[in-house]
Amino acid sequence: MASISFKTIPINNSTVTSAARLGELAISSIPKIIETPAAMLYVRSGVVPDVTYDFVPDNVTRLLEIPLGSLVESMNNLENAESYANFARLVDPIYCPFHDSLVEVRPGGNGNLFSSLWTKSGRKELNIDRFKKLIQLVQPTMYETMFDGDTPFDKTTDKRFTKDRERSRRFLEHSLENQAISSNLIIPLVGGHDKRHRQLYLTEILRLLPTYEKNIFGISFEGIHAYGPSTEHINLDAIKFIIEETKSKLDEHPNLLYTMPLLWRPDNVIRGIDLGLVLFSGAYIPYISDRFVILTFQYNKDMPSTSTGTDYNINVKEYFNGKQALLTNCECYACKNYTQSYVYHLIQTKELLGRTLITIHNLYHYHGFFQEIRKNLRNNTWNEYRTMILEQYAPSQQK
Amino acid sequence: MQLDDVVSSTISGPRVEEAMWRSLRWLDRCIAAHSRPSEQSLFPIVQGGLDEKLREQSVKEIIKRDCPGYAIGGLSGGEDKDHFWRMVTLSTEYLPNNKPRYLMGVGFAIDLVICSALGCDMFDCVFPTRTARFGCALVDSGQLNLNKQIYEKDHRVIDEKCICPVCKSGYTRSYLNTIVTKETTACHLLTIHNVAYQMRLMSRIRQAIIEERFPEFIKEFVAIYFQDKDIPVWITNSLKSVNIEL
Repeated sequence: MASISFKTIPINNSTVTSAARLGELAISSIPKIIETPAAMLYVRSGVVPDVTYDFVPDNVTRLLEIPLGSLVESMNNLENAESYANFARLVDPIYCPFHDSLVEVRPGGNGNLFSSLWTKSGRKELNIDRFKKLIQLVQPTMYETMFDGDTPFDKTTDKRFTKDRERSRRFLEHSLENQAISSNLIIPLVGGHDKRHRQLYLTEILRLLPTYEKNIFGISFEGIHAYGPSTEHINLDAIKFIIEETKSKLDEHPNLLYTMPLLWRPDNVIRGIDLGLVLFSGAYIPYISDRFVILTFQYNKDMPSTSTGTDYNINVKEYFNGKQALLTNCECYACKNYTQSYVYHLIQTKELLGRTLITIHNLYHYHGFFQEIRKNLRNNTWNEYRTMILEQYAPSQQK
Repeated sequence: MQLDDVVSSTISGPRVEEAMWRSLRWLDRCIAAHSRPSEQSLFPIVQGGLDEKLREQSVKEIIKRDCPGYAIGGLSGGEDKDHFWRMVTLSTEYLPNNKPRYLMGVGFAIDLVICSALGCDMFDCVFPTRTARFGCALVDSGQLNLNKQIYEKDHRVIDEKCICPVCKSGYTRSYLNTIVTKETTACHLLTIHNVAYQMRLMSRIRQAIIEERFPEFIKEFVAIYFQDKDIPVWITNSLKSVNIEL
């Protein structure tokens, strides 16, 4: 496995309350540094949904997010391949989160010795051995260890929490024990919304790691929601305390990579960055593209404001005659070459190209947004920038 | 293309004749209405179903109208192949040598090779892209249904000789097996390969003609396409009609 290092860059932050920070992720297998905060490129079974790699816009961060669910079914095929990257002809680094941010996780799928992944074709059980085998076959650049995390808000008993911690810790230990797969781990922190259980779990983990002579590389906040479509509307302010409390206990580890799986709507991205998160799931893009939604929010103060607000659905009759691009003045391939009218037509005739053009635009827009985030953090204009984004998504602005 | 009255090639009787004459009348109306003959080519379409007499009448009438090229229509349905090739050859016999002959709705690789030998120049078909979307990749020996379990551990590319980006990138049958019928992007990848395959096939046909070894090319192609299976009678018959003995 490639070696990775992550370091945060101190910025002259005029906001005392925000934990926003810049960072650099250096991976030995690629020449370029990945700057954070960054959104990952969501990939399923080795491909970006609806678009081939040659049409992924140049401004997209090439860190691939490949949820394990899409890899489990390829295990047979992978047997004689060197690695998943070799198998799927991928050159970019790969992060494997345990769950797929696009798919809702149903309760009750886990056991003492296994956890369930939820895929398009249903529930797939992974026991410890199968998980380890999968990771060894795939050889991701970094991955999240298996965990329980089945702790729905307000419905979880103390006993369930205890079980959750027990299992998650056991699963983590198995990954740590196995030399072949014990580097570059993102450790899931569980405990639902319960302060006490989260604190207990963190303490257990911190005590555990030195025995394996491992340093923490990264952390993923888990057990907070059940993934899937409803996370688009999650109230991050309500769970702020979870992240803040955890981070306060990790002062001695200033260069940790913090992440949380979610469908990251742009205003929540801002809130997430304020909480110190640095790596964001890219699943929001296929999620909205699938529903024919076009991103139009203003991510750069030089962009003209639009009449459509933050986004609009192009599968609506009024666009059958739309002579302008999906977003006027946008420099992406779709906007430079095609009209709303044509994309509307492609959707009506169920042509694949419709989805491709929508995805290309949304990827360009979202990653352009992240470029602006990094620029504003560097230039000490974060305060104004975050306000500009949050205002667009304020309830009074939404239709 | 002219607007024509198309009937299914599997039906016979007076409806076929009616369609043939109607298409001819519509052809004349199209020619009269065509306002940009120096910028656009208007091709008539030979009809007549599987009836020799009607076909002959259709093509003889059509060549009286001096058009930049001619299409052969009504032959891409489910008709019997032994009738199909005879209608193609009947049309090409009369159509002028110095103008393109466009066989509409054809087709499968073997049909392209045979009909090139029968004197056709242009073709169109949904087949390569449609079959791609269903997970099938085109090769000289037919189609690889990459969804099948036999490809699970097949680490070869689709076609060693293919120069398309998919084959050149090294996408293996084993990998494609994990995404066909499951991801739309698989449709893109196979479409790219299949279109490239068709284009390269036509290029190989042209090259064989230029190098005066087209008959050998056809024999090799037929052998690979049918491998251990019997060669259908229509192929033997159609090739014999142009002096190629299998």
